[in-house]
Amino acid sequence: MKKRIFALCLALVMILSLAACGGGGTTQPGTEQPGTTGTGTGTGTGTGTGTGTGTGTPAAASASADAALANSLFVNPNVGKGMYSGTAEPGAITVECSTMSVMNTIKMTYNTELSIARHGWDTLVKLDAENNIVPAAAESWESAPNAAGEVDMVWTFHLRPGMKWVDSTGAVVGDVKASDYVFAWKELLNPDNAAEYYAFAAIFKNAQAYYDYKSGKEGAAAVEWEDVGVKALDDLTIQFELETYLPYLLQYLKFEVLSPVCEEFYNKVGADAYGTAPDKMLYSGSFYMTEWVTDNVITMKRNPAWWDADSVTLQTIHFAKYSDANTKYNAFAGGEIDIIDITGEQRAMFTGEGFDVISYVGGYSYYFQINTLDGPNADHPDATKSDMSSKSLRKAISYALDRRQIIDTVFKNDNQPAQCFTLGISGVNTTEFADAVVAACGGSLYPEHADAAKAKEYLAQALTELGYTDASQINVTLMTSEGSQNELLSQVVQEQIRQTLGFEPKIEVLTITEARARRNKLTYDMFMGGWGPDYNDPMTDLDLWMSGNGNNHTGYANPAYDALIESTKTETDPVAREKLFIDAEKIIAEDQFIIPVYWRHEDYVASEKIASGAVRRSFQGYFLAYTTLQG
Amino acid sequence: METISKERFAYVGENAKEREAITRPSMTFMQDATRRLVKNRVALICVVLLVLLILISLLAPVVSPFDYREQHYSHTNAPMGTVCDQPDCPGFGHKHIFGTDTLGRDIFTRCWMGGRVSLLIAFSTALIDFFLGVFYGGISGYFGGTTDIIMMRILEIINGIPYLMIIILLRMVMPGGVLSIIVAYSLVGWIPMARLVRGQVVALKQQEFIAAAEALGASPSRLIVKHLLPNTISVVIVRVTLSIPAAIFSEAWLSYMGLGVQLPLCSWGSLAQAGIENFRLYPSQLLIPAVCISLTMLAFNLFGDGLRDAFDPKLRR
Amino acid sequence: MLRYVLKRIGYAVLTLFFLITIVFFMMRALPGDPFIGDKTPSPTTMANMRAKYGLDKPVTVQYLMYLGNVLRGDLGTSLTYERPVVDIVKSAFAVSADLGIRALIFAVIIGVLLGAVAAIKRGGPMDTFSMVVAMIGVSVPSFILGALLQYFLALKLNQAVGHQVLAVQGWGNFKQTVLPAFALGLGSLATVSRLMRTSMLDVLNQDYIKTARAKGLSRQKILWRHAVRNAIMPVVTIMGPTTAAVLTGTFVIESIFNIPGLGKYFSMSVKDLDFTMIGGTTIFYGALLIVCTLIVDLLYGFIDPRVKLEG
Repeated sequence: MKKRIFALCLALVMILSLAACGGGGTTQPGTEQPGTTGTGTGTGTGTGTGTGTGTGTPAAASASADAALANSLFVNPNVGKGMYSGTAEPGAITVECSTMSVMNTIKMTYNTELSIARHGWDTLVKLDAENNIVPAAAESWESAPNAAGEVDMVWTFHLRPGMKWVDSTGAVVGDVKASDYVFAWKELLNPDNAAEYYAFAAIFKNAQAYYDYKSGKEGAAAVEWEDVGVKALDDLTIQFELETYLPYLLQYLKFEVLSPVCEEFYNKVGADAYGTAPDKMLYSGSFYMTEWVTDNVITMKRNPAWWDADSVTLQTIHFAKYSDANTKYNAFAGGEIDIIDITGEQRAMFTGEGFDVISYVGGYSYYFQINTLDGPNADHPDATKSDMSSKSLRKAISYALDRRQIIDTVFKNDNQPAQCFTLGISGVNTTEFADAVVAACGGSLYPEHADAAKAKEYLAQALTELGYTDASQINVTLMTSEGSQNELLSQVVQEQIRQTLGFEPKIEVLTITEARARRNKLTYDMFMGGWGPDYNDPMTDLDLWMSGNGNNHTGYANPAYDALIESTKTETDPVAREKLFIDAEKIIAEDQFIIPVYWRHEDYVASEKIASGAVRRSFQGYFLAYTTLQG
Repeated sequence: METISKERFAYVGENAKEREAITRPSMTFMQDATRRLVKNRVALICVVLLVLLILISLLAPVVSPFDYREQHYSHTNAPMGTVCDQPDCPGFGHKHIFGTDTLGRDIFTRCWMGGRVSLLIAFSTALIDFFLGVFYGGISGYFGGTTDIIMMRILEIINGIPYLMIIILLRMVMPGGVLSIIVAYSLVGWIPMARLVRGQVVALKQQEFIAAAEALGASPSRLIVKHLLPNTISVVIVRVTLSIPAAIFSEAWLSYMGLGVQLPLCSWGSLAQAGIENFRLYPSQLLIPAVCISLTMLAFNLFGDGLRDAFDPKLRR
Repeated sequence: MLRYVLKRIGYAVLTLFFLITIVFFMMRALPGDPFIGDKTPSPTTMANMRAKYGLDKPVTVQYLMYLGNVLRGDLGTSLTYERPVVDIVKSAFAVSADLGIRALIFAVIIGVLLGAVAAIKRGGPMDTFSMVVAMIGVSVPSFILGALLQYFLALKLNQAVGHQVLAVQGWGNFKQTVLPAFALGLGSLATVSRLMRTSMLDVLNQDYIKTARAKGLSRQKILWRHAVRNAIMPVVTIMGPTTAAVLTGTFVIESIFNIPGLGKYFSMSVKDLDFTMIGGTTIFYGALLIVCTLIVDLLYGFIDPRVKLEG
């Protein structure tokens, strides 16, 4: 545990020390830096051009570190029990993977797709098993101030030499160049691709303006690709200038949509065909894809040309999609799959048999988002007036919920009652940012068990606010999307509200697309939502509730909250910055435009075939390259 | 050998009128069918069973000390016969005859609430199915030619529209729940029936008795209603008994897709769907709705057999 | 005959046109927006996405463009999978058709035999047996049947004998096809055997059977040449749409046995608002349905000489 805390702190300190470093060195304009040479060696300790100020040298770079790391990965507690032996195919594992519709990294949106990308391609940096940033495609990097003297605005990344592109047969077809990364980012900003996660490439200077201009946005100034502050200086060096200071840049660069795309190959197969089949892509990661049956199974094989292939013993990974929880269980018991996610009932069965279930936090926090508007406004012309516009009613419902009971009846697993909104983000002095919030607030912001007295107290206020005489006049609809768990949860919440507050909210089950459309139009009262972090910084969660954020579907607009979040963008002291985020959490609890309910813990079981090395945690749905097998 | 004395016989004389009288009471088609149906013991038992299922579904939720939506957190997934130990609950001390579900709701009460929904859907859609299908198929088959071709193409078009799309669109314009399920299923459910009846009519209208009726000047409507349709009745009845499970399953499938009845209401389909998720741990949660569905189906099928035998003019002797 | 077929093909094209038109405008009325996911893209990105799929143009223009593309055999790119609909449908249909043909052969052969024998030996043990099979087929929802089959006949059986007899799930080898084909076929088998039984009973009471018997034909000949051939008519009628439905897969069986078939796309495309996929699957299914009905109508003429194909 201590080691983990230390490692996390190290990661943050590293980022922040870069931030804290000031001035010095030669300032280079982002676009021109002739004469820069690649590092050429594998040591990666500041052997760059020496222009950088804060030289980002990880504790120990390169392959040796990864080998050491491989040993510290997850160890399967079930090995040797003789209960679930796993699949028969030697050297291969089959793991469950829910959504895998799109394999073109530029267009990916689902976590599970990103998990597959994590094996197929190397981003500049990656996370190790402890979620520390470690070198991946880049073996070293340094930063410099920009022309205006702002620190940490110009970054130079030195790629690992000798990285190869392989095709779907595993044959080496060329070298991975710095330009392949830059090309992928350019395509990410290409409106023709309509990439949902283009914003990850919009951090570069002028990139957002370029995107807007190319998208034909009204009034956008003409910006060409040459003006965007990202360049491949040579085959192994990438340099870019940031648009605005980004304290969590490395967390950002780990994101898999920033994976490289072989420019030559992409142009050869064409933009439409690229990424539509295993042989329509080239791979640079630990594994390459050999087979892809739409929405059913993706098979990847060990890439011997990968830079750290020596540490990889696993030969094959099958990512299999299952849509039926029973089938999944039967397949696991029948030795047809090695890792499955399980339901609460299945968890009870496994633990009852003495087979250990593994639980991890993916960082997902679940909450009721609420339509706080009392009618249409400029941003939401279709919005309906909701009784939930009464803050007291929202609080009454929050106190009427028995979060523990919800978890025990609906999920039957390790899910925790939500103590604040943000989950799965590292704190400055604590393992979890959430711990810092709880410590600063003197306890959980939301009750674990129902507090009938408080709930009724708020209900009385709500009735006055709404001008009702009796609770039965309150008209609240619980919108929910289909799925047995959603439906169970809605029914428990409905019953809890009925018993504590004396009115019964209606339940409306919709298809997920219709529910989302109504959520976005604010024609709903209450709707369950979940949010998982994209990168390891509280910002990934807390900027959500700024007014005008595209994902804020509550109608909540508070200038004080906006100002608070804005101020974190310039605050360079990590502790002070965290304090600002804690204040934001307090505002959420005070205004209760969302009612946090639970923090999700994800349960899975691994067959005894897997000895160690299967990484599953937040930001890393799967990383299986260093998996070792039994026997 | 015993001899019979002549006095025991008397000559009654000739009466032409009485000689011609029909001594057996004359019977209409319906009377005849009913008589034969009542004679069929299996069919009768099935009718009794169906009536019982309907009565229990109507009464059980009213009589039960538990509400169908009331959740008992102290005994979730309780086995059959568990006594309610939650003092604040109106059913305190009463037995959960069928146990409780994953939210601690009384399965007995829910099972019969579900029965109401499922039986309502089954009966109403079967009825609509029957009338629409027979009517449409009869007309199409009888007139043939262009009418037939156009009417059959319309069926193909309706059949080609994704069912889920119809459901979702209907739910937009109608209040969700049982009614929209009935309407949606009725919109597409009658198509196999229409096709079947048409096929039968096409074959039948070549037969001599139709030519005879036509020659006697029977109108098309009379020909269809009195001559053609009664002869298709056996196939139609089988189809109706099969369309009842289809309707119940269609609802169950919608529950599987998450578009079933309004929560917390339930149906046998949705109960079975919930039961299948953990049938290894709590088999009774699956068994109870499954038995209810199967029992209903069995009763309908055997009853359908009886009806077939009773109504088919060809089996009339 | 040829004239009849040509005429029918002409009608088929017309039917498809109406079907496409109706479905096209119906799917635009579906609630929701295909580009809003859990997370909502920025307005600019949404506009880019719309432009990419041509959804930024007026609906009538889109409709005309779509018709033009369909005529050229281009069903567009799936919004969900970002790949050509034709490719996805092609590979998924190969799987569904394979499974469907197995299920159909099983259902028709066993169903017709069971129904015929049940009618001939009315009230006998075969009658009861066919009734029981039909009962299971029609009274157990496929999601229960599939799950139970999988649990008892794959998992428990394999554990009992110590090696894999039947696979739990998946698609590729024979061990994987047995259970889904059985589960898929059982429902049709029940329908076929029940229909066959009633229609056989009807036929056995017909005068021509009595005539044949009076002529002194052998029992076998009467039954198979005269009775079954006539009794199979209602079965043939129902086979048209059933074939189309079975060949294109069912969502429930596919998801229980984890088979990469076409069935899921019918349901999921509507739920995901994958417009091009809805259109593609509808056209494909519609065309298949029309072809199947046409074949059935032609078969009518072959099986029952009384039916004239009116051209």
